[in-house]
Amino acid sequence: MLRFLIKRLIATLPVVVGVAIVVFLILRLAPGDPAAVLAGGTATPETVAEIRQKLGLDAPLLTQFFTWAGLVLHGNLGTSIITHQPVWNLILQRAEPTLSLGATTFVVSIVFAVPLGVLAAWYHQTWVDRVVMIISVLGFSIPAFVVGYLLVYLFAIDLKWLPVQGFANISRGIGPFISYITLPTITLSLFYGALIARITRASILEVLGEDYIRTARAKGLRESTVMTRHALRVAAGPIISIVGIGLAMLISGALITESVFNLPGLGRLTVDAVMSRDYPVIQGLILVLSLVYILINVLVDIAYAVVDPRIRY
Amino acid sequence: MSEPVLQVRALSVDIRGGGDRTSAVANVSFDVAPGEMVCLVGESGSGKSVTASSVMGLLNTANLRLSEGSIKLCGEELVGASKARLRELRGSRMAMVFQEPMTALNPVHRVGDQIAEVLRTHSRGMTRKQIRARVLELMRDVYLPEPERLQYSYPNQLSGGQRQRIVIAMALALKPALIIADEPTTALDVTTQAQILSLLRGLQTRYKTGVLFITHDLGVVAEIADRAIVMQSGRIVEEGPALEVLTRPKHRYTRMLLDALPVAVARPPRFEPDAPIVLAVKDLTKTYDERSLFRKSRSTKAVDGVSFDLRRGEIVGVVGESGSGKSTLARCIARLITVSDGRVEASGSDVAKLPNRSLSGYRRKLQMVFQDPYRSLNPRMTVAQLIGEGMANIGLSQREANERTRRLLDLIGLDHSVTSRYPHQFSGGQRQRICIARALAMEPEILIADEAVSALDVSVQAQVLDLLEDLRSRLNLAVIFITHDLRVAARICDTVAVMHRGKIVEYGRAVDVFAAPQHEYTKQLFAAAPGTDVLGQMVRH
Repeated sequence: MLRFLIKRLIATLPVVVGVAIVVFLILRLAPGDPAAVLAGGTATPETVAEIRQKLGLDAPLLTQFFTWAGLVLHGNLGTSIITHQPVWNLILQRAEPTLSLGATTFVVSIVFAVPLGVLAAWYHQTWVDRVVMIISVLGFSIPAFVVGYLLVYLFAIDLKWLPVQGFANISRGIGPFISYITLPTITLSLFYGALIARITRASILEVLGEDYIRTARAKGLRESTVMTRHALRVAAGPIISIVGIGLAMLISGALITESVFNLPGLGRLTVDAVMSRDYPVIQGLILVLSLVYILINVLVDIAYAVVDPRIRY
Repeated sequence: MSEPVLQVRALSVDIRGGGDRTSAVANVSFDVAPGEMVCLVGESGSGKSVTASSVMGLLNTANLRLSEGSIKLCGEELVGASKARLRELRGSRMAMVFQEPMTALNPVHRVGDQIAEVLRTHSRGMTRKQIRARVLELMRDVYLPEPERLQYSYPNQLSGGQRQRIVIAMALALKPALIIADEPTTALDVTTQAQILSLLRGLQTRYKTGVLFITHDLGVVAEIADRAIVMQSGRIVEEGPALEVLTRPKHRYTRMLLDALPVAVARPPRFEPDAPIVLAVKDLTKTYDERSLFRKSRSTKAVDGVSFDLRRGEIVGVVGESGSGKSTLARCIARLITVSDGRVEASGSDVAKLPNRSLSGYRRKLQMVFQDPYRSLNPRMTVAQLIGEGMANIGLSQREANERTRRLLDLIGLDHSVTSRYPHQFSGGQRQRICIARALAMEPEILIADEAVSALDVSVQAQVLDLLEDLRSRLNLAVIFITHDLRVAARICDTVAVMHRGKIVEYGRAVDVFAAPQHEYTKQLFAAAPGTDVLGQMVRH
């Protein structure tokens, strides 16, 4: 197991390097010039050139890349061109809302979607199954911004139960935290949960045809035990993998949701950085997010081995 | 006689929206007495498994419906009993042992826990310690080695026989009055089968359990049954003491089953002893390396120095249990996999060393028929496409291909009109005929049949074997016939090679090998074949 983990982590290195190169090149090749943004609309070409030189953006691409890569290797993601703050600090400052939203969505989705998926499979082709499937089709196909604004209109503006937008640090108390995070969580969970519910239902239905389910019933076990201990345990593999893959979509979903609810998170930071062509910030963000994603995939692999004893690394 | 543990009266099970048959089981009545072993015999579709599921209350209600009748377990009516009551009875008063030990256990739970689950579910009063102790006791009862260690294993770490022992331990856990065993040994090797049968017999006598034993194998019936019930198309056609049913069958279906049963007495070879050699296998070895970055690599010899000659018109039987390397040998000879060492000589060249791209000529000359006719035909292709694909590959025109397809259909005894139909529209036996036609379409010299009749009912098996025999003499085919079933081998083979752990341990004319096996392993194998005594006597009668 340990050897597997080390191998897996070593194998991720080329991926990280690849991501770094691609991100760097795409930014440089995309239209738009941070120097021009900084200098403002009325600046002369000379001023823009001067700023560009100051930022080191006039150096050859290769030199620029290695300068940046050298910094990254020392754990330094560089400094924002716009705000002159270290990128690392910017990311840390904005991490909490995003992590909070990610965590609540993750928990809420799994807590609701997995049991719903099990119920749908259990009562296959009855109204229970159909209701769960309709909800999940809707959740999956209605865009987050539509759901988000509908929820805001209903619960914040009309019923006035919850705040319209913004974020409260958990240090301000659990009450305010929950009241602010609820609507964004529901918005995002609807999408993520729909995915999990569908895959749970599908993989349980597949497992239910297996011989050992018949054995479990022949033992005289309750149907609920058959569904959970025998079917769900085996069906957990596909569910875990979709939970892992879905996290990538969760990251992009968080971006939109943060905009809708005006959460000061990494999504907002990304959007702002892209708008102002803040190269170091964009590069740093994408690098960090891809590392997170790789880490999640390693965790998924470990989770496989935990739920299924046939898998041994 | 004391009260029967199981009393089935006028049981009928309907098939919902059934086509040519509206009932799976029709008006079936029988009893099982305490301590009695009753065998329910029949071919696939005879309704024997449906009968068992009805008793357990595990009918697949999506397409089956218990329409009539009464099922009493120790006097208690089960038809119409509440789901909760049935659940209580399952596992405690009646238990089941299934066919496929490989899939009957949940792969993600330890086997000890799976046995303990029965105890936890049904006997509330037991403490953890008592349960633990009982699990170990049960594992010892079914003669599992080192139960203290084995209870923590997962099913995939055990052999088929060991898993079946776990399933039996599970069934025995609460000393049920009735055990239903649904083809419990069909998926096992003969030697393992013999062990499991004697285990079941022993435990049943000890616990005075009534056993309803479902099987298609008359050899098994001869081995263990007190009473036999023969079913055909959902009805009981004959019933009586096992020995009597086997030796003095009254119904013609029973007689047909017995006649179709291959007998383990071989016939003399029927090919020219000096016919040209079409295939010479010399010191063939297949090694599987387990490579590892950090450890020393291990290698396993699946086939170990095998040599034999195959002459035109000869049928060589390769006999062995699972894991003996017989299928690997076939796949090496067909060059479906690479050969590690040795030679495979066919028409003057060594095929073993040929690179894959130069194999097309050899492939025309050698064709294979596989075990499972349900899975070896592409479900999306018509019969014409299935048979014609190979011919189109070697450049035959559509007209020639159609012509040859019709000739092949004549040969295998199917009507010309079937060409536009799909595999699912045929029965198992018909599908295997199509597989044979597909193989013969290339006009091969050599045919490899890898367990080609193992998945078929005995009566169908007999037909397919007759067809192969007929084709051999008409086309002068050389056949390598791979099987685990000695009786099948005896019926069709001229020469027999017995494989054990990758090696041929005995090789000779089938008559000689079957009459007087020399090697210790061959003797064991023959002794393990179920019902040899009774059925052997029958032949002489």
